[in-house]
Amino acid sequence: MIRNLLGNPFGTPGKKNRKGGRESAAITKARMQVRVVILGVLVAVIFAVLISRLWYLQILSSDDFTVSAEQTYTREVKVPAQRGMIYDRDGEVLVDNVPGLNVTVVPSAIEREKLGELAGILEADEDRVLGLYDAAMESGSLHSPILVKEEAGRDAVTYVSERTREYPGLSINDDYTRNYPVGETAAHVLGYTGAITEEELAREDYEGFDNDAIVGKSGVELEYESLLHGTPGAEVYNVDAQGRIVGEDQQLDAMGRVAGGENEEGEPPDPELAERIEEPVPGRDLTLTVDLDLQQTVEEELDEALVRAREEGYDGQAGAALVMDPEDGEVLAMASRPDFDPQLFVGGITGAEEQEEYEYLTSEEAGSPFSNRAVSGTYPAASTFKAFTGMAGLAFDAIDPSSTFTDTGECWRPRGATEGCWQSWRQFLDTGTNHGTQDYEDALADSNDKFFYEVADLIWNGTSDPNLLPEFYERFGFGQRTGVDLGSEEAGRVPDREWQQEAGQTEEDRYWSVGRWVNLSIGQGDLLVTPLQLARSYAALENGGTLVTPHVAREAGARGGGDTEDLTPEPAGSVEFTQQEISSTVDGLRAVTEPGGTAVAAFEGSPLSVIGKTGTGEMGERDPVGWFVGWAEAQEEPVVVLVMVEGAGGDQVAAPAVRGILEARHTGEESPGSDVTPVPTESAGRAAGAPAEDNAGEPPAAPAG
Amino acid sequence: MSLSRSQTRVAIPREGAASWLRFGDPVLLLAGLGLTAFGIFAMYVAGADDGQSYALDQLVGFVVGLAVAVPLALVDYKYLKRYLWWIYAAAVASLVFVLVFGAAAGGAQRWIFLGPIQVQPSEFVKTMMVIVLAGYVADHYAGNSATFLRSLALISLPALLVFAQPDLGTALVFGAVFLVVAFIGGAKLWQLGALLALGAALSALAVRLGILADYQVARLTAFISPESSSDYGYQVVQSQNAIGSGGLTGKGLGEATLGNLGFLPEDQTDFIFSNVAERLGFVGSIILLVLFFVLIWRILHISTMARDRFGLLLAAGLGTIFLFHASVNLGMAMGIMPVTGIPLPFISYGRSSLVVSVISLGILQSIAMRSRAESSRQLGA
Repeated sequence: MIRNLLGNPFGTPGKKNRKGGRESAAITKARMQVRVVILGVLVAVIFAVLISRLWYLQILSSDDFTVSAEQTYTREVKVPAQRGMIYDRDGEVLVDNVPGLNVTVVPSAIEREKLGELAGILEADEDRVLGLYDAAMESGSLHSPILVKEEAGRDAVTYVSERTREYPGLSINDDYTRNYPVGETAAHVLGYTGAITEEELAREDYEGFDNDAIVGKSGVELEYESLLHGTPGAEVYNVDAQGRIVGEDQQLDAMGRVAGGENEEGEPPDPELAERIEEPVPGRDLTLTVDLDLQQTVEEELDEALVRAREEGYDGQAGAALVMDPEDGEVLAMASRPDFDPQLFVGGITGAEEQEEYEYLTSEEAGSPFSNRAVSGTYPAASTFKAFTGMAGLAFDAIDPSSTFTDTGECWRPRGATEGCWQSWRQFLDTGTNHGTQDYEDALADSNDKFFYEVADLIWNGTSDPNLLPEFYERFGFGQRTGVDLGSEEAGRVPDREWQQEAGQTEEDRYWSVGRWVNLSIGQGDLLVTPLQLARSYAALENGGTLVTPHVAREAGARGGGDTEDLTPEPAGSVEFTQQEISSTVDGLRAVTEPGGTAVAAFEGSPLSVIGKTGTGEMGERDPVGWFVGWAEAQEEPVVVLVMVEGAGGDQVAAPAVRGILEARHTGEESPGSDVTPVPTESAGRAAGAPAEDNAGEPPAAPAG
Repeated sequence: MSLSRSQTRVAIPREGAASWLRFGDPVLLLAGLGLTAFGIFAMYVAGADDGQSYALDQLVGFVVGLAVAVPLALVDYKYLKRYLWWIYAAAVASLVFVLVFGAAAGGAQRWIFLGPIQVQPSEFVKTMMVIVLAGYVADHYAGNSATFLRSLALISLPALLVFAQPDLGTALVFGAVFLVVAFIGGAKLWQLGALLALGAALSALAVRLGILADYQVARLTAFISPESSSDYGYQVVQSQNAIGSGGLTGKGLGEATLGNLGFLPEDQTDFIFSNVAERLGFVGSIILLVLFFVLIWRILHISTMARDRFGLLLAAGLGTIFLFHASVNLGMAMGIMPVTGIPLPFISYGRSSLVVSVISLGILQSIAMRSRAESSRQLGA
């Protein structure tokens, strides 16, 4: 049929169809008409396709194309948002913002090589900038500007702005830069800020952040990033293909900076021409629990303690100090040494001087200045731990407050042991004296090692639970993070049988014995605590057993009213003890600073009655660590003060600093400082030797023996 | 409707022009007027501040076209057949003249100046070649290979001259016209198939040998992956952005659009549809598509109703020009056809194109009138 109608399209030409002798007769008009109809079908198909496509574009995908079109013909001029300010508890400014110039660049507009060159001119971190560039190229977000240099210098800005053609996509924005008016003070609490990195951009909690964002890198700047961070706004302009703002003869580059012409400085466009304006949302302010005055005192006292340590021949470079409200865990001051100036990082590490400083700070020699030793340094608690051993002895009925132990200078051994020799500091420091007969209170005051060995041994013999003592210590929060609102907190370690079995290198080493307990009883062995943990455990002694959650942030929101948010955390838990247990322990701790106590020299003549404990932790090959932790009695607003100095003894280095801080806090007077008469005490030469790091099941080789 | 009868009727003495007129095709007339009006409106919109002058230009084009189209409609189209070789000679001569004396713009030499008026002869040559080809094939059986090759040779000369301007898009129109006229004229499918295969082989060779410039190849392939190829890909992407963002009802006339902000390339000529679709949305665009469909459908209808082979082939050939232009231009704007740079009849800015379109409609009316006259006479006889 079709063949017939089409005039035999497959036939041999010219023969069968020859009808009237004329070629044209080979196809009839009717067949031609059929062929026109076939063409008509083709037309219908073509229009069906066109209409389907139109439907797809304008109905089905319209939203996508609308977004895409809008991106094409709008330009945004960023309106910077201020990062939240940080105040101390009384409203003193700790961190604020100052106007500065930021240089950004649009990745799609500039070549990699040119960008590297630009980074060099602006003294920016080339690796970071190129890293962001590569990430932008990979992710396809080519049109979103990346931060080349925060707080660019005027000279550099002038230089590059005269060469906008050489560095296309360049933009210089008025922005805010971070300012740390108190310098190094509380640097570890405040932390520092810097340009966002590609790793951070990839993180979920940084979603929606701009490529050129400034974010916190440590301290509360990091911890409260989401709160402090502002959201920049934008003025959105319609522009034509040449980048001219519609209705105005002004040209914007892909980034929103007014470009070209005589106007190299780049006057901002008139906001009245903006198609729409997205208001910036400033970050929220943060009020800390820190008291700036007290913080400064603490820093000074810590520095003086380090000086004393160096005078005694120790290394004396590192330490930490903190003041905490025992009732609610508010940290009133926290310092760590060595330290740094957060301002160094504002605008990146720029210039030879800053570069040199940064290189020093990150060198081994500098001793990790960015580490906040108050929360991330872990040390043996040493004699400060004896209070908890005593509490355990009372709680497990191994001793009562009147129980005594007599030291005659003989070696002490656990019951049933025939070898080994444990001595106390009076023997191995060769003081020529013994502790004599002491009860619990005396033993705390005199830091009698042998008394607490005996307590641990008695508990060991009274129980079948090999972890009874370690678990008692854990009740006071040791071995767990305190939950302080500062990053990089360490948990420390309370060794128990399971840990020993896992950590031990040899068969002998894995053995859990009474010897481990004995070493633990004086805060040695494998015990590690952070200064903050220790301060919190003493706070629990002070406040009757509440295990607070230490924290440095108090309130978010504008100061002086408005929408504020209380940031005070709930306490972490509580410790139960009897009145007798706590009062005899506190009596012993009070005697530490009284005549006959190990810290009497440091507190001689003080108007305050100080309850506390010295400690000198053995660090193996390294210099010991010196502690003093305590509080002043009968104060309306008591505080627990802790000073820790790496490479020093507790009673002559740390204790005077604690006295100074407590007196400044409670009496408003400056401390007598280092004006302390040295007397032979616990710490005086402990570096020379001590109960060595324990050996499983065997008494440590005492230096005396 | 036999050949012999219609031939005898042609000899009947003419009556007054007014009585012929009422036998014209009103649907074709309305579709043509509608498209012209749409085109003038589009110029007014797309031209932004200069919209009025652009619209006026188009209106002038329409009037000029009308001045030629009305007499052509009234005169019996059979007279065109008498001057086939004159028409062919004029077409080829004008193209040679362009190549030698023409004005260049945008890398192509397409225009000549007749006094103050700029004319693009290739637009006229398209229609002229339809007349020539239809006239030839009407008398020679296209299924005959000798005829097939002769008619191919006939159209190849102007096609090559246009290709040399260079104007690949228009050259392709000649190809489409030949395929359709030869097909309807009785060409065998194997002949057409062989021709297409040869064309494909030649194209491949042309790319290989660099006869097709890189930009031509880039343009033709840009729509396949618009993101990857820079400039032409940009055109395709922006065109689709414009159309797609128009949505159902469009952005309106006064709003900022990719078109008036200068992001759309050739926004008054090749990409006029994108421009209009962005402002008028699906509702406006579909009206335009329907107008084109009606126009082409009606032309094919006239073709089937034509009095004789010549009229039939002529109408089909003229319809092919509209079909090819509309489908390739719209397809290009919507990203499903290569960027060939051929205008959208009646809508794209360009007086030559509009004049020729209107003239074509005049010829088509002439064909329609004669067929109607024929049938009414038969009824009356």
